[in-house]
Amino acid sequence: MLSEFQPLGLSDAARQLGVDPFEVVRLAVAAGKGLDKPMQFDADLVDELRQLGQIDDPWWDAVDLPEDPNPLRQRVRAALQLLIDKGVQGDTTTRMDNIWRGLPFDDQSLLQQAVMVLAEEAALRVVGSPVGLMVSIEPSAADTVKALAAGTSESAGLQSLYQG
Amino acid sequence: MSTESPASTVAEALEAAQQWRTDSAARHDAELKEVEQELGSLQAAVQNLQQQIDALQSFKAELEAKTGELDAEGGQREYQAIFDTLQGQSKGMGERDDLVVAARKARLDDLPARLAAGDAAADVAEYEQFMSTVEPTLKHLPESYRDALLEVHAKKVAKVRGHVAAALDGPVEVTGAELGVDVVYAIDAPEGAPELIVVVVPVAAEVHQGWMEQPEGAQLWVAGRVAQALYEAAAKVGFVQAQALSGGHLDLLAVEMELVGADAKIADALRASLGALGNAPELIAAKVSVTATELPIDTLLPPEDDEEGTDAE
Repeated sequence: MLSEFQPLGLSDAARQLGVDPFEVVRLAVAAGKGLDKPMQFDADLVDELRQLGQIDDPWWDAVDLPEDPNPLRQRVRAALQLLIDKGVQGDTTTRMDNIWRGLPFDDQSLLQQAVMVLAEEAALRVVGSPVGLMVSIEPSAADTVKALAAGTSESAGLQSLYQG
Repeated sequence: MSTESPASTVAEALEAAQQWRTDSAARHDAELKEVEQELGSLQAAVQNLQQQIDALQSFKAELEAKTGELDAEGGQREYQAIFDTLQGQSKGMGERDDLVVAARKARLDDLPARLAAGDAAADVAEYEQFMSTVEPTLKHLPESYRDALLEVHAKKVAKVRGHVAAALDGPVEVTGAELGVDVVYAIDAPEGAPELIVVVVPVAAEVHQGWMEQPEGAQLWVAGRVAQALYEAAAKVGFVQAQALSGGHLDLLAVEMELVGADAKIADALRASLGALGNAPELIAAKVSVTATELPIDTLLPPEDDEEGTDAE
């Protein structure tokens, strides 16, 4: 009964935040936590890191996947639609791992690779920040991303990704 | 002018001159033979010396080739020795994790008894009584009563949380021998400016990527502290796009960070922050003594491995 009050370790904090332990550490650095304190995180600190890191609750709970015979493309199209719906474009960014938080590991890995492919194709913008990698739709490629999300267009890189 | 008496006849004079010519020619022939003999001897000696020089040069080339092989073999032995040592330390870290997990469990198991014996006893007893007997009945109470009770309960929760935090303050102490481990790293700066740092951590490669399936222990702490050191150094020089990537290298965890675009001072900042790894309180309490050692990049990632690098993700 009392265990819920114990300070969290690195793994527990990572689970609560939905990021990997290295991201927790990065956020702790951004929050000014040094090497002189034990690696423990109380509830207030976890909340502080969540806000600092702009960590969203999982996006996928009520998401309807689009009709698509290819389950990989189906997931990527849904993720792009979420970025469009949330207005994540240009200087309006989101944490990159917000896109796949809460999904099974394989889907997380797929979306991670898809974001990198689309960044290389200049459809998405990925920028580093002290609190993590941030992503947004490249304004000049907004129509391209819409078409990809609608399934009316294909990206060479994504096709290659779907083929493994 | 000649001191000999002149010949009495021209014939005698011509005969004497002929005799002189014959004698001189014989003497010159003898001298020429001597010189030729001497030249022959010297040429034989030179030839002999040349053969000796040739033999020595051949021997020298053999020795130089062996020295080159020695360097390569020495490098290979050095590399092997480093990673054999790190893998041995990684095994020790895995065993240390077992002690950490056991110590943490023991501390948590002991928590209720510790709270019951101290100043927290009354608050904890009231909290537990509320949770077991009052909380299930809340839904039957009018909202105003329920809100009043929950307000009091929230204050109690804050007090209990404080008691628990105080009881669990500080890292988990492990009973056992000191375990010394080395974190080795190399900063690649082929053109002078740092371009990449590679850190090899003496923990299993899956400690980071498989963190969700494993109990937290000293291995994850060391890995986390390495990441912290990299991000602290990056923050110190304003390198905002820093991104630590992890992967496996010979079954060990490798962490790398691209440094292209960072201020050159990041190299010293990295050395300072990695040098402070041993100060981490939870590692000290777990009796893990960490030493960070910088190596040349070719020692940590020999040239033949450069193209492969780590399988960082």
